[in-house]
Amino acid sequence: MPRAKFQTLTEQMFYILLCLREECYGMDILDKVPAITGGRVSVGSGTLYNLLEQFCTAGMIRETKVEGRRRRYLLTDYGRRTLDKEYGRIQAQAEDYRRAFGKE
Amino acid sequence: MKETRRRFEWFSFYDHTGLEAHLKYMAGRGWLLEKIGNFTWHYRRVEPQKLAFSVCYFPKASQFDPGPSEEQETFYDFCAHTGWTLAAASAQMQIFYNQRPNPVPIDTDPAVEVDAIHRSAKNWLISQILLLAVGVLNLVQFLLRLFHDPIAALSNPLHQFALVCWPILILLIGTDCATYFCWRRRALKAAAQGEFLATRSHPLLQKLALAVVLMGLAWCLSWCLSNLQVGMAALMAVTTACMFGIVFLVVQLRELLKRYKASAGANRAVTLGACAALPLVMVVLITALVFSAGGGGGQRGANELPLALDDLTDVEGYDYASSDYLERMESPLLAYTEVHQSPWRLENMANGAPSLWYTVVEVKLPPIYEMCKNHLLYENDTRETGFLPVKYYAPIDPAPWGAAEAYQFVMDDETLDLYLLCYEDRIVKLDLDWELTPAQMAVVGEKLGGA
Repeated sequence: MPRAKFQTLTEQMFYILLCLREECYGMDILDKVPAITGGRVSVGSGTLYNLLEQFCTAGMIRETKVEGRRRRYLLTDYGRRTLDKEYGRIQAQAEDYRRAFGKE
Repeated sequence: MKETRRRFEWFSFYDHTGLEAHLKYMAGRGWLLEKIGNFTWHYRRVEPQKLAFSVCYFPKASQFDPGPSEEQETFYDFCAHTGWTLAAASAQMQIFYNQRPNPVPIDTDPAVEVDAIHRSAKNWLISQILLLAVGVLNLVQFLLRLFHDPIAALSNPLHQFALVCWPILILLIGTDCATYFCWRRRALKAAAQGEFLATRSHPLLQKLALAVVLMGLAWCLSWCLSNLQVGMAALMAVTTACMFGIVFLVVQLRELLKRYKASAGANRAVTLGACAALPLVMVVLITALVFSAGGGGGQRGANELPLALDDLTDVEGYDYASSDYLERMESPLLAYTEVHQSPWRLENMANGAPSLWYTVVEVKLPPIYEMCKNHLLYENDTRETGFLPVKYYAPIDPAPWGAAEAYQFVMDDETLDLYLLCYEDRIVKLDLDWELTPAQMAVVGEKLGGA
């Protein structure tokens, strides 16, 4: 998948990468995302499987351990930069909102 | 009470929405999908229940895999973690069900889903496009044949079957591919807004078209068996049986290799090799069969011919019997009969023994009569082309022949004993090597005119 695809991240991509700031099994992300978002966001198993594969190909995460069919992943520097960039974009959006409605 | 059930399901490869709704309906009626067979889908009886179904696509899987790969198993583990159980899988298509109320869907990102479907659909699209190309080529070939030799094209029932079936097939496959690309374009737009787009296909329409093709095939075969000469009918029956046999053998070979755990690559190579080799073997065997049976036509006794030499002239002393030749081709639109009788021994020819050659075209559909007549009338006409010698059919008095119209062939201003006779529903082309008397012309009209 072309890297341009990840110029902006969907909510699910954002939280998958966020979960991988610490090394963890792919399957654990299915529980971690609802846990850290209070159940607001869930990631489907097919979507997670495909995104992990695409993030690996794009160099945003890397496999750290393979135990049979279970694999552990960790965010790479490039993945971290992508996440930071997305965070900046979300912050800028929030800032624009505040300015528009005069909220401090 | 039956515990299992097999159904023929015809959904487009990408129509996951339609399939999910159908499988949910089946489960509600107490039938749970358990296997996707080569030709039918297998269901087993369960308590009627409300199940959620999810049809998703695993691009790396193939129909030649001996079993699920490790990556596929990992994918199944992910799905099992959220309550999704694999019901059945066929190549890239993976079908899961979930007993939990409101389960988290397997695909929660529309862009990822559209991408997975498109990567999985590539093989399906290639096969569809190849079939479409074969269909278009066959149709073009038939239309060219119809243009150059309408009588040969329309008198062969297999050609007419092709005329009915190929356009339906082209329409079906073309519609399927076009609706897929339409859906993909709209689904990508929807995905950019974070929305899923349901798929739409027309299984009822597709089933109807398939039924038309199968009924056409059954009708064509039964017509051939009851109307054609025994040899030709047997040939058609054998050809049709061989084609179905090849499909069956290829599928069985692929399944056998899967059972013996052959790698996907080896299975693909052997199966595709069989796909290429078996039709060749069939063509060779059928050709050998035709030649061993004496070609398309056959030798007949003079009493089986619609018009024989001894109906017209005295042939005592000449041996014709072993050279009488009759070929007949018949379709629901047209019947074509070709007969020739010539002396058996060369010395007979040298002695001036008469010979006879004619074709009778019986037109069963009046609107095509003029087309057939014009084809015969102008096929050798060189007046427009400027080629030499100048050849054409000139009108003559049809009365002695009992015909509506009659023509005699002219070459470089010299009339030949080659005639074209038009009767109400048939056209006769008659070639002789002597000049007929009015009485003999009347016999020709009586025997070949169909009155």
